[in-house]
Amino acid sequence: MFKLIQNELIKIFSKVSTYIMLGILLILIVGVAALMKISGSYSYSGYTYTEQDLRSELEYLNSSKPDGYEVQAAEYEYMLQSGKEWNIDSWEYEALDEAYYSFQSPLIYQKDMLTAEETAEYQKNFDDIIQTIEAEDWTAYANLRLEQMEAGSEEAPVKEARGYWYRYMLDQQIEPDTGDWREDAAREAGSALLEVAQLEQQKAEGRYVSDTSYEEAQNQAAICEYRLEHGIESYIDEDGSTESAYWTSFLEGAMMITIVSVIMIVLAGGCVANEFANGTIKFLLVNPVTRRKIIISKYLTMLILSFLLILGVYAATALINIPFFGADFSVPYLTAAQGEVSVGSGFVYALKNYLLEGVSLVAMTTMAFMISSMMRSSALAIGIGVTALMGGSIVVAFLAQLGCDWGRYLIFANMNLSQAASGNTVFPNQTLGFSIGVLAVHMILFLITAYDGFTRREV
Amino acid sequence: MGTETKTEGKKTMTTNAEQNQKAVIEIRHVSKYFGKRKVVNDLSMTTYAGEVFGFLGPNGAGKTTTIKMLVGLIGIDEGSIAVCGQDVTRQFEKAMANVGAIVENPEMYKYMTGMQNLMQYARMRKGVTEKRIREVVELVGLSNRIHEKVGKYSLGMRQRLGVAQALLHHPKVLILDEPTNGLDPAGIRNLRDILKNLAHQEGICVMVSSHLMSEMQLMCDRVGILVNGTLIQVTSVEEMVEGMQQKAPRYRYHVEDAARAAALLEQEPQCSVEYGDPEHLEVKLQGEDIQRHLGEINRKIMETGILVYTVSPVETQRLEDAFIELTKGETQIV
Repeated sequence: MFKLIQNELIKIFSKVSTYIMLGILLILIVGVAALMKISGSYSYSGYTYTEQDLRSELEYLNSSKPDGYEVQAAEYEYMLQSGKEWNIDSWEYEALDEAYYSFQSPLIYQKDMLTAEETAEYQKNFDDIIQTIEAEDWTAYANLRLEQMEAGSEEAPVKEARGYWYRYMLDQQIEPDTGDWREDAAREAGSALLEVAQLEQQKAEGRYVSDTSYEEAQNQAAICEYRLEHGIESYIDEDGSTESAYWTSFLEGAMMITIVSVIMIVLAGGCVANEFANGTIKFLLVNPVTRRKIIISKYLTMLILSFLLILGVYAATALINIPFFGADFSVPYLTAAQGEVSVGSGFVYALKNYLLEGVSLVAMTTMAFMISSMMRSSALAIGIGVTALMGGSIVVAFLAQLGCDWGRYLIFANMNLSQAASGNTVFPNQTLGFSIGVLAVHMILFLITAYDGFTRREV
Repeated sequence: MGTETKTEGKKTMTTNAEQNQKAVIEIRHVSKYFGKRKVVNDLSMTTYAGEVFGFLGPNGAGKTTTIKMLVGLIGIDEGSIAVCGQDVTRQFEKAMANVGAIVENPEMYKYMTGMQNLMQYARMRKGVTEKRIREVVELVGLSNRIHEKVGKYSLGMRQRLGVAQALLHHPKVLILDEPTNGLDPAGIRNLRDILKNLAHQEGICVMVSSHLMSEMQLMCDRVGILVNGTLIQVTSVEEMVEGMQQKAPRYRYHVEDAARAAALLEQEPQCSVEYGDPEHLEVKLQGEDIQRHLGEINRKIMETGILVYTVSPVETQRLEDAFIELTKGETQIV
């Protein structure tokens, strides 16, 4: 059997067309990395208001007077008169928003209901913030905010969470708006912690709290705190998104498996049919080797090649992205469950993704192999295989839209196992087990047909 | 006539077996249907080690179908075939270990060199050494071209590569389907020498199918004639030709007046006349004492006063004529 597989591999790698296909694959991998580089070089830096912007905004607000326009108008007025530049991502703009919406707003809208003391309190808080802004003193602003929160009426855990970001920034002596990754990470941690605290409070008050949203917030907070603690700037999250350009490109590269699928369909489609087309089948079958062994070794060759090509694309993508984005290897894959962080290797995660893409590859390769063996026509096998690969998901989406529930039993509806695992499927209630079952049944049918067609064929 | 020749064929086979030869291919009551049409009809025959066996028949007689059943390319509907005692259906691998074959055209992987092609087949068979590969390449005379892509080979070279492929694993049987197709006279002669040598020196049973009778006459020791899926005769080449000769010898007359002589001879028993031109005619004699009969005919002609210039026996019949004679009438059904 080993020698038969060796024979099949030699046949495939003696053909020029094989190398052309592999060359195209390599060019595409490089091309995608280059495209990712070009599209990724755009960097976001917050919008800065111009005088013109502010004037026209004010004009609009004063003329059409939408509900609650007064605070916004007052804020714009202040911005215009200050003569400074206001970037919407700067701490000053954020502080200004805080001042107007938390303290100026009650002064405008609840004027009649406030006591004199309350009015004075709001006015003082407002003035204090404006003062720090004008002094351009972030430390003072942060300390002020912490004081203000402490004086507030919220429960201790909520206060604690709200102040998390300010305390972290002060402790670590990080200036905001300097591009330090910890600023965003701490902000994210703070808002996740706040949600946890709020949900816990709701629970204590006897209100209904969804377990998933609680756990999600808890996990999010755990991951952010873990990152801050271990100095992890970029990481890969559960959904595979990451700040790292290298890893974004590497993970996106899994789509190249579709090209590998096409190559494998071409190889599997020709695997049996070409022996008939070239007349070599008669020389193959008069050897002292049963047809059973020949067809099994041909199929095994396809499986081995599929696996090797997936690994090859994985390795090639990993390497080719290095000159474009740098060898950003230390990025971990962070997940959390019940607030416990588990650290995984990005390479393992990427490999898992590439291999999952391989499920549809193997399914379609097997289908092409079956047609090749049954119909002896490589053109038919390749045509149907590629059409199914490209069009299968469209057909399934169409059926789902028409409400044809039997569509769930089609192989195309079950090829995306990661989707099935996350429950995000075309048809409702399609579990991972169901998908694997449908795939298995199809594969067995394909293989039996291929086997039967080949072993009983009169040549 | 069919029954008569069949009996004769069986007689020949017994003689061969008596010569203490080893049966290699045993075909027993094999039939094959394509749909409802019976393309091979109750075919039984045996071939022996050390002989070149010619499988003859017009196109569509079932030669290739029989060979395909023999090498397991198609199934056997009725009967059984054994090679060296191994049933080709039930013990395919063991049976095929003794068989080398080219069925129909010698198509190889065009994108590989001759050597790479041979390596493919070597890997599928037991005990093929590199030395053996060089040996067979040498034997078929491809040594200087073996590292070229098969796509550049001529048909003759591909045919020879096919023979090399078939011989790789020291088979006891070599089966070649229409091996002389598309070969030039030199190529045919070369192949003939190779095959004869393999059979007579190395004791291989070579089975060759063809519709080129003249070619087979030079190559084969025995022939089996297949018409419409039925084996109508198995005999040695010499016996076949001689048999035809003895059964109905022909004589060619050059006479003064052929028309008158013909009219005279037509009244003669056991004698048929073919009238050629005014001076020539051919006479076919049947019966016991041919020599005496011929003398009497000559006397009769001369008694009428017609001058006889020459009387000569018609040249030894060739296998081709024998074949056409044998299959006369039956081929028309094809």
